[in-house]
Amino acid sequence: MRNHLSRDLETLNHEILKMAVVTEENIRLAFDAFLNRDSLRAKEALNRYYQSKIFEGNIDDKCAILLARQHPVARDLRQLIATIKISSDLERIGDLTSHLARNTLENHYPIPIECLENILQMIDVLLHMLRGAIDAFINEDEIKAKIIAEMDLQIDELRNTVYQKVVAEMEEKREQIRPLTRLLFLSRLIERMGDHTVSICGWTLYISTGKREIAT
Amino acid sequence: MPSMTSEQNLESMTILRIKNLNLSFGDTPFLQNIDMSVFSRSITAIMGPPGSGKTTLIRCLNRTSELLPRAKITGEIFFEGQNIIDSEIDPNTVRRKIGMVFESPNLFPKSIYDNVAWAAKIHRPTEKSDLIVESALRDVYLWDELKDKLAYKPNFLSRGQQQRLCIARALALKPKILVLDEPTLELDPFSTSRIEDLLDDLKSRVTIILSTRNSAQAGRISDYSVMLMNGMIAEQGSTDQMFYAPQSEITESFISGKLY
Repeated sequence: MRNHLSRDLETLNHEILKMAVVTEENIRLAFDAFLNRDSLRAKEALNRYYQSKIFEGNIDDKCAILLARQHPVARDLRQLIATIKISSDLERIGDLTSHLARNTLENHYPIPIECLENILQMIDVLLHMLRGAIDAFINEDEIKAKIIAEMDLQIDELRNTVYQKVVAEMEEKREQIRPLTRLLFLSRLIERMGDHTVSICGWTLYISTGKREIAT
Repeated sequence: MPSMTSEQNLESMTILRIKNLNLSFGDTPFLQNIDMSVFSRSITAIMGPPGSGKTTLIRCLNRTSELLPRAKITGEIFFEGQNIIDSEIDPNTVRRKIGMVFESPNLFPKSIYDNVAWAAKIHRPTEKSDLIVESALRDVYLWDELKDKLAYKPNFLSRGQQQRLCIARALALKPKILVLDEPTLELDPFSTSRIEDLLDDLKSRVTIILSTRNSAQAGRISDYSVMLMNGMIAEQGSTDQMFYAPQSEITESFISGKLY
């Protein structure tokens, strides 16, 4: 019954959208907690990560039931596979925010102000990418998916900049090595979140072509 | 295990309840210990291989199984507070409220109009036949195609259209429950899809019970499923549950296409 399948796939799109909104809010919260050394907000971010886990579980269950009942083929099948994969990417991003939140709770070194501007830029690009990637998936917009995926280069460049600045600082101020390491940790997390966002774009393209065109 | 609240909800949604139904022809049992509920505004699929007792079971619901020679029926089928297989209940009253559509379109050799209006004229005498016909044909998406051909005999219609006309004829009586016995068995995939979509639309207004040997159809279309094998229920429950993680090996084999 094709109407039923179309309706269920649309419902799954809404679920992905809701999961993405929760993930985006949690990224903001976790970075905000980290940068302001706010343990209360870090705990909140940790709790919110479990929402992502629940979302992922629910989406997987719905996809499994849809596979069992509707036997989707061709584009419908690819969309279902992409949905499972995208919910997994969003959960992985959520997992990275939980690392950030834990780090905030466990580590009391102040955040060095060096490179902070670059870090904030990275976060901005990441949030823009995530929103665009989900938008491209929902609207089946291949061009947008490709454009968003290419934005990952900005994150990579910013990460290299942060790395070089931090290493230079470390060489000059050896007593600051531990706090400066936090910036490397931070930039690495953002970079990995960017990779998962690129993966989301790749799955959107996969729906159209049946091929994995973007490697992360 | 459903919680108490959900059990109570299911109880309040029950429109038909079969209790310990047994049917035999002579000494040969055909249905044994059938216990099941049908919930309003849903589609219940009774699935099983040929000869499993699907048709025999659903014919009990509109009192046609008892017409067969040497048939002996025990048990109860509750609908609207009455045991409808009680000999004191008028079978025609039951058949008006529980409509039936068979696997082969069995239209009368009359016009399209009369096919839909004939029984309705008897059971809904105060209502205008024209309105009944239009409403029933709209329900099955045939009005636009047939509104200028109502006086024709339905021979020119495709099998799928004829089957939809049979559904319209049943709907014209405004049944509470619509029972369909393998309604798409003889139809092509396109006509099958149209009927499945149609049933999905109708279920908000009329409770549907469908028998099918096609497990994929039960999976696509139903909210609840009953697995029938050798005249006995092997498993019943939500279609989600039964197709994702069936509890019975019989169901597992049947829906995997390993049992036929």
